[in-house]
Amino acid sequence: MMSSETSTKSLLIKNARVIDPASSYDAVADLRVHGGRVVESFPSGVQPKEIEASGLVLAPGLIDIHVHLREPGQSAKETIRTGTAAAAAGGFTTVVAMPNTSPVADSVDVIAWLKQRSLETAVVHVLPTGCISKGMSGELLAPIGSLVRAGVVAITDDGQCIQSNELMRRALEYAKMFDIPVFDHCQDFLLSGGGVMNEGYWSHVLGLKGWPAIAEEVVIARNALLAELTGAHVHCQHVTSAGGVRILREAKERGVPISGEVCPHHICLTDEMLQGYDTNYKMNPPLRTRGM
Amino acid sequence: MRCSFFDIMNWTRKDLVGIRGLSAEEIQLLLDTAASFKSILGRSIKKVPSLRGRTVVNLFIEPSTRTRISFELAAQRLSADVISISKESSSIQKGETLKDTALNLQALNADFIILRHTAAGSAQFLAERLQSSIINAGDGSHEHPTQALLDTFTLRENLGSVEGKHVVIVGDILYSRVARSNIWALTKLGARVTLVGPSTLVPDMFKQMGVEVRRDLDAVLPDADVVNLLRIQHERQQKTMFPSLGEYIALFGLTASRFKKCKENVLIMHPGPMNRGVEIASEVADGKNSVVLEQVTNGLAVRMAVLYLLSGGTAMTDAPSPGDS
Repeated sequence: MMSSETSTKSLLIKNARVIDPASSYDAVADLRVHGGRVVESFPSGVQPKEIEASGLVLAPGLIDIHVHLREPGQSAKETIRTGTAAAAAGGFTTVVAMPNTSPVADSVDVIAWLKQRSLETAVVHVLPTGCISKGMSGELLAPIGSLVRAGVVAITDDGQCIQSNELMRRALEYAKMFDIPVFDHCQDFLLSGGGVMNEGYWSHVLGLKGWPAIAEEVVIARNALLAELTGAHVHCQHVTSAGGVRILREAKERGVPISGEVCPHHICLTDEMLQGYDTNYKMNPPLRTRGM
Repeated sequence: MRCSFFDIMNWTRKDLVGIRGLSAEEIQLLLDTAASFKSILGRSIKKVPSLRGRTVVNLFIEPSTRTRISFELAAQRLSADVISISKESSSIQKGETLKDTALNLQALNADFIILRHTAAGSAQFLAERLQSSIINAGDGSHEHPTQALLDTFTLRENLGSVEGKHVVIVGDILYSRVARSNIWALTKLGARVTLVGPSTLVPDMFKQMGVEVRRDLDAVLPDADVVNLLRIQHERQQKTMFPSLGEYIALFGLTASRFKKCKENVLIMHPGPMNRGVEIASEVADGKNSVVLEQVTNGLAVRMAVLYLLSGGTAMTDAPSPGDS
């Protein structure tokens, strides 16, 4: 009885590839956990539960800062339970949920509901984001201060890039008061037009309307300028092109508070995949061309 | 008499969705077969029994005059049963998907579905999902293979061969399925292709398809064996692509005076419908160098050849006689 109680509190994870970015540690090792902490050795008499982990990675919980849990309103696509279960399966212990739900997360009510629902059904930590604009319509600011008090960690109109440079400037100035970052899905809707894939050789061959990288890059450039002006942190979502990376790099070198993220599919796949019109390769922003 | 080439080269594809995937030999086979069928069109009895008992469905989800009637007639001349469906007269109007409509047609034993659709890739989409043969009669801005075949056929008939000939295609290339199919057919058969038009409608990107891209029509015309004029497609156009029709005509319209820069025996082609006075002046469209109506006649022979080869017909050099089965 004594030993079984001890085993739940003590873990010996053997032969894992232990990665700790904070200390730059990366080696195959055994790890001991006792009483909720990593320990060098167990107190005498402890019988730890043993886990054989050869071939597996052992790391601090990963954080995904761009997920769609689709609740409330679109639970046919995904729920907090299914989305967080998928996160856990991939080693992610914290996810940042986008606000383009139905209704959109532009009010304290929606954030409060989301937090309650996460307590009931999530299997990893869920951090909510709120909208930049009311109704995500790009016209008036959402009640950002109230959203921050309700618990949002960032604001974004993900999927509905703020087209007005004036509104984006105000959003950044306002968000700076609360020291939260502003996430932006970078897409100039006039330049991307009705585009359904990357504008390039394959869009020309396939006769499909192109969504050029420049439609993303002009907004990243806009964001770099506005971040520099306001001092607020802009985070550019799912960057797809070398041009976008260049603008981010140059801005960061100047000390501008700007950052970016990239999706695995934008690194691994290219617009050539669309030559059979397989819509599994259709996404927004689209797959770009092969790098040099 | 059979040519030995045709004994080894037979058509093996179920569908015709585009020219890009075809070999030069397959294109030649289609053109040679069309030549055989063209001789039938001059007879008093213009019908052969090759497709007797087969069902051909024209599924036209986008308006068309020439192509639809041409396919209907081609199928009738081959003795097939032909049904034509438009968007307005089908349940697509009620929200039925293209796939479901096509599966229903297949369930009614349609051997061929000839599809005209606004969406690029729609013909390939059906070809991958149905046992029926799918013939692309134009899918968005992607391909219009039978138009390219009839253009190439007309060119070959007038000039003897395609190889080495300089074909200039003028106008709205970006939105043109006719241009794309022509580019593939002509380059595969060894023609030199030059695209001319404003940089917004003819991006330099097209050079990667193995063609030249030029902006100066006046400089290109004296060297052209064929000038193929494409319609400015108002329905697919964005407002920002060029300033005005007037400016377009000034720079890229084949006006009567500009036509004088062409070789004396130049072929003038247009896939229709023409915007007279825009991309082509009436004097040029109706002039002695124009083969616009020949293209239409040849379209019938080409479409008979496509239907015939897709139905499993063997290659031939002689036209089937009315008694053949």
